[in-house]
Amino acid sequence: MDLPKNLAAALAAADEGYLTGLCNKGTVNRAKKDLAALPPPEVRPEGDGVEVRMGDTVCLIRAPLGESRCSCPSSGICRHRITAILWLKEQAGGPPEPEEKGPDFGALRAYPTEKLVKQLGAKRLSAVLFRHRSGTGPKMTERSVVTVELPWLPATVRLLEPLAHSTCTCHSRQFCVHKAEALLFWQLKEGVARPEALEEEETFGEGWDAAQVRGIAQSVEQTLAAQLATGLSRLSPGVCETVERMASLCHTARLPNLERALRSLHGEYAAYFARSATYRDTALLARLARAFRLARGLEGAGEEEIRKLAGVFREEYEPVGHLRLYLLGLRELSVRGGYRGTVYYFWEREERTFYTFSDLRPTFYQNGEGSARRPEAAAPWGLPCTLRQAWNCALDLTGAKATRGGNLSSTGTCAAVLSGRLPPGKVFPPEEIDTDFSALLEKKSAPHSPERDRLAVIRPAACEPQAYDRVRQVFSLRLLDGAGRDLWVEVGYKKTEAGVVEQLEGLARQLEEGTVRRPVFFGVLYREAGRLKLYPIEYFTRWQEAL
Amino acid sequence: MRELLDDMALLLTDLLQSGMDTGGPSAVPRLRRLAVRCEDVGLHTGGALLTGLAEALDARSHTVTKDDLPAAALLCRAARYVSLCRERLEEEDIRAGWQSAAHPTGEQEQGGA
Repeated sequence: MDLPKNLAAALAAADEGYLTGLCNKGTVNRAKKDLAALPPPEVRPEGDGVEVRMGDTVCLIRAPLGESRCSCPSSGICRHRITAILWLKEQAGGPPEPEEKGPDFGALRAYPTEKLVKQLGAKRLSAVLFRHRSGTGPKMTERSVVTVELPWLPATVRLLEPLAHSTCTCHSRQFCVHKAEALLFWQLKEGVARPEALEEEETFGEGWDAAQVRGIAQSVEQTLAAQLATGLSRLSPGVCETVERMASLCHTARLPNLERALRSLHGEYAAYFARSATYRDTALLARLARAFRLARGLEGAGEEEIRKLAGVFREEYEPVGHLRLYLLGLRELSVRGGYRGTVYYFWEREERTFYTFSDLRPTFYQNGEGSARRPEAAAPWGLPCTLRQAWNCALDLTGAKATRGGNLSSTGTCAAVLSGRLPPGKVFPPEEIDTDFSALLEKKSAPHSPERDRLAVIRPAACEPQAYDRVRQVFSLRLLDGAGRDLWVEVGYKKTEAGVVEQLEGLARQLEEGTVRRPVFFGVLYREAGRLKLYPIEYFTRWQEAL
Repeated sequence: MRELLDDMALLLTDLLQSGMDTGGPSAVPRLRRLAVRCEDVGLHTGGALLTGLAEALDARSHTVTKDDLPAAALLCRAARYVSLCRERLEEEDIRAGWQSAAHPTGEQEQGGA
């Protein structure tokens, strides 16, 4: 049979995998059965294709095969078209020789990566990059089509040429987000897309209207400068509302860093007008200065600089795979702005780093903190008990998600398997315990660094309990390292800290009696009043022994 | 140097309270004196900031239509500068405290409640 050249080539190249890619395996199997029972159809040339008449159905088969038409109502590639294609393949010269070398998928390579990135968005792009980096990406097979299995969606995509004829198990006729994700994975595997370039794109996302940003920045600068000109003693309480309004403007303009700076300033102004005992001029000036400087930076910034200065609203949770955690400690927290709850601190045994889980609830809907209902204890990830009960237990998380700052998500897709209770000394590596306070000062106590970077497990050479400071209402414990350098454990007495102070007083008694020699402390480092200090989250008197 | 930083912080918070309109002109001689002290101890950036702020406040007080931005910008930079210097000093103070505890010179030791 004489077929147009293009069509003959397309038929020769289309193996079963390609035909499955055009529709699905079921349709191809049905077409094979139909072919076996088919009487010889009528065939005639029609333009650049061939018209095949099978009973009441007429198909126009042309190259590329995905653009073939059929008289049946089906809008997709139907079994009639596949039957006609299979018959034409037989007529064109029997089954083709299997190709040693597959197609080079030029159309897949040529598809612009930027378009894929834009279609996926920042969140999906992060997930793709994580899976690519960690080797937990999709299973991909290549023959005449590229089959990509994305089990986490779930979806299976068949990419073929031309790309418009690719199929997805979501049945979308368009170039859906699953196809975009599959194609990006393939491009990363083939080296067409570079992870480094995509990582830059990941942090940037949508652009800003530079004129709008400039306008808002100028407005913030002028407002704050006017407040400095007037003077705090002459400002009316209405300044709080002014700052709050500016923060809202920044939120709308997607400038979260400036929004947060203004909300912090709002907090200080509110404390000033409320005559709060904790208010300090230096703190207000610092927050005002920060907001002003940030606005000034945004005013003159180009697009790339705006991206860096604008910040992010909320850290996204990204998949982090399988985590082998140990719950080292927990801390009750009351946050300015009306949140209260517990933060749980985990040690990841393979990565050798800390993760946290925050269980904080708002108190501002209740009648003051004193009357807040006790919240239910957290039991995420399908745990058979509360996290509090899992203290000092090992647990394995599969499908975990966390922010870049190491805060774990309570997502339902993550499952935990709880092991038994273990003494921390059996889990925490001895080389990770800090004994040199000079190294702590240098590496783990930088002001304004994230709390995660200031967490430390410390074994002092000696502990010296101090008398309770009745003037400052502070409990202190002086720790010394082997070189005589000191580090101060300090807890200011507040209602919320009463339990902590009581426990530390018990420790101090044990130290004085000599029943405890070298406890291990876990806490957050900071610098204050010329001293290196530690806020204690936990202390352990039996580090290696079973509890 | 700690005392100098405290004086700088006090001056800046006084300006915050009184405002550049009212407190600006009277702050100018204090700013100039502090700028000289900064130069004497080697805080050249601090000296330049305070001098610049003094000039901006002085120029501002002699104009009818006041431009708040230049003086406000310098005031905010100065506040940030003082804060950074204090953070740096904190680290040095901690090390100095360790040093003097290791080698007491007859003065009262630091530390203890």
